[in-house]
Amino acid sequence: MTLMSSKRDWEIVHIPEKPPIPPHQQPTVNVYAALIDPKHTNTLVRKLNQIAPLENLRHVKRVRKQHLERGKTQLSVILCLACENGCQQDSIPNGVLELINSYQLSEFITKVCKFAALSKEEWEEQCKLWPTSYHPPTYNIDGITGFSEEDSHSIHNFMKLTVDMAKSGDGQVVNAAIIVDPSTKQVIARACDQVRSQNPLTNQAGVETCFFEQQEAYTCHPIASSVEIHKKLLSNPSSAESRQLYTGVACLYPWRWAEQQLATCFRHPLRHAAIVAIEYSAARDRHLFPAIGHTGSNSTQMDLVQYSLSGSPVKRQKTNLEDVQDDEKLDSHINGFHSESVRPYLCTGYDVFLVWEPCALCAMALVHQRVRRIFYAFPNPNEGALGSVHRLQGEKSLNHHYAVFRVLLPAEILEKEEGKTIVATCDDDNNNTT
Amino acid sequence: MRERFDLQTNSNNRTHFSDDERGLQFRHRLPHLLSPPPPSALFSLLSLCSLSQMASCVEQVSLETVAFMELAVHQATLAMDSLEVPVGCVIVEDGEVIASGRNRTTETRNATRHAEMEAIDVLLEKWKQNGLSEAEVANKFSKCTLYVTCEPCIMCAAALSILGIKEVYYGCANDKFGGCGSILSLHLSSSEPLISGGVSRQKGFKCTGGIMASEAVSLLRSFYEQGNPNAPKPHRPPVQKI
Repeated sequence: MTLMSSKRDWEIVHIPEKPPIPPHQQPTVNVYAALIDPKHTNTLVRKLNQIAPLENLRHVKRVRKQHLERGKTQLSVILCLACENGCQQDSIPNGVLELINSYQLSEFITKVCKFAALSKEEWEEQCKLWPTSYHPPTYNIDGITGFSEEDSHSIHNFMKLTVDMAKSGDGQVVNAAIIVDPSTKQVIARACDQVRSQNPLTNQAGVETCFFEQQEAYTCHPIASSVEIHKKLLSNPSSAESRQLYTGVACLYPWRWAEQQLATCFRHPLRHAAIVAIEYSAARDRHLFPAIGHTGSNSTQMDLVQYSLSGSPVKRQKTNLEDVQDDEKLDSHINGFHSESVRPYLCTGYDVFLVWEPCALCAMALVHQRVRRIFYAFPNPNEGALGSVHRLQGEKSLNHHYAVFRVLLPAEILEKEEGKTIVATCDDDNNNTT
Repeated sequence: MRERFDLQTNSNNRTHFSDDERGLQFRHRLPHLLSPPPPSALFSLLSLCSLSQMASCVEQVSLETVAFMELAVHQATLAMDSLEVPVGCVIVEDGEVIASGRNRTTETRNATRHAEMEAIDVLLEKWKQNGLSEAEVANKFSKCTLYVTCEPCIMCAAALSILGIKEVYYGCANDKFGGCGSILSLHLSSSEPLISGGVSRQKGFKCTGGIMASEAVSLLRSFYEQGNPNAPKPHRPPVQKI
């Protein structure tokens, strides 16, 4: 099966908070450095840190260790900054000159990277010049520094499930979203786009073809330039990707809903896959963790009546949540808040899998719902809000930040296989994901 | 209701404020919620323009605009009464309120259920039941004006743009999530040329902030002062890059 054979090629790439600077374009500064005797390292580094601290180059390591032939190593140390154009020795501070003299160092000018690396790839390039340190910006999120084989396997499986859902409808390929609790590998919710009916009338086909031609023009538009990096990552860009436009994908064409003339196809212009999946996960939350006598809202109580009829409250499933503290119990003077303190807060800690990079509507919805990581397979050059057009993961003012990854897939994976039954279905009313 | 008066020239109104007070009224933004409240919220009409717009603040604010914003503020107080973040809105077509909404994120446990999304869903449901086609629905939205107490967030601004709403009036700006100028400017129509065949890439909408901003802010302030019982435990802020 093609899917299986190509699977091991699936690579997971972190999409950082800022567009990565091509490594060879990273700005550098000149510094004086010198080879040193390893036994002097500690003394020299201590003295240099006092005399010539590298205040604005904290990411740069003071000492470089180089491996020579036959297992030999050599150490060099950064003495101080050098001026940028044709430098004289007089730019070296006196204290440093004294060290040079007393330790018989022969200084040379070398380049180090001016700014801290924003991605692992940038960091690897930086270290070719002179070693730097790299602190992943979203430091507490797993995966930025790489995935274990087990995690990688699980991510691929969920991504494959998402792609299968996207192809499962009768009509066009749509976007699909799956929300997963990575601690239990449990699917919390899943959904496809519900902007249009999954069973379009047959005479709609003519409209579709017409759109294919119209849209062709602007897939090559300069706005796609921000995706160049993505394209480069995809080592073997398939012709299928450029040929197919996937006009059924809501996040790729969010304004297209209004063009339909047939009331029968009309669902909801904003029911993109991610929005629907969030709704299902919220419904699951209300069902599994019904509040007890929540005050202040009549409609909440009606909600509770509905759910208590449909089933008894389910005991909490997660065991890794902290136990309720005693003082919290005292604090929870309003009924209902007690139970709320043990259940997950929105989608905190959850992962989301999407076939296409989400638009601003969906990407911001996922910020609001506090997901931890987003995995998508294909960039969205038209409206993508996670790197292509906007980059919400890099908007510092937002109150929540998720990590974003692209799972590189061959474009052929989207081709519908004729006459084949696809296991994963995208039932519109499917929210029983327990 | 259609009566208009000019902020710059109306002398009757002058007696109510000094220029200094006006200055204090003008920039209400969310991150300042912890700062002391302004001297008083005497004059909602005056918070019409943000500082950046003051120079060009010659346009008139209609009583109608304020009247609709008062209804939006009322929706926000309903949210407050239900322990929700107090943001409310109304949608108006031909001078008539056709939908209202308020924040329901706590109740639904769905953080996307902002006031705007609630009101939009009321309309879509209604129009769908009336058998309107998508083109008719789009035409309807293009005649609608939204009045909302706080600048629409990035999600809501994207939604309003997708639906093709005509105009938005908001109360206070939203320095954290605002999608109508604060963080992103999704209300501006794209500079991209229209695609042949009339499929526009992006629809813009007219957007005016600062209507009854002090009321909007004081609601939010009192909500956060009483403490948002639904907020997550304090967590470490994102690392600041040096």
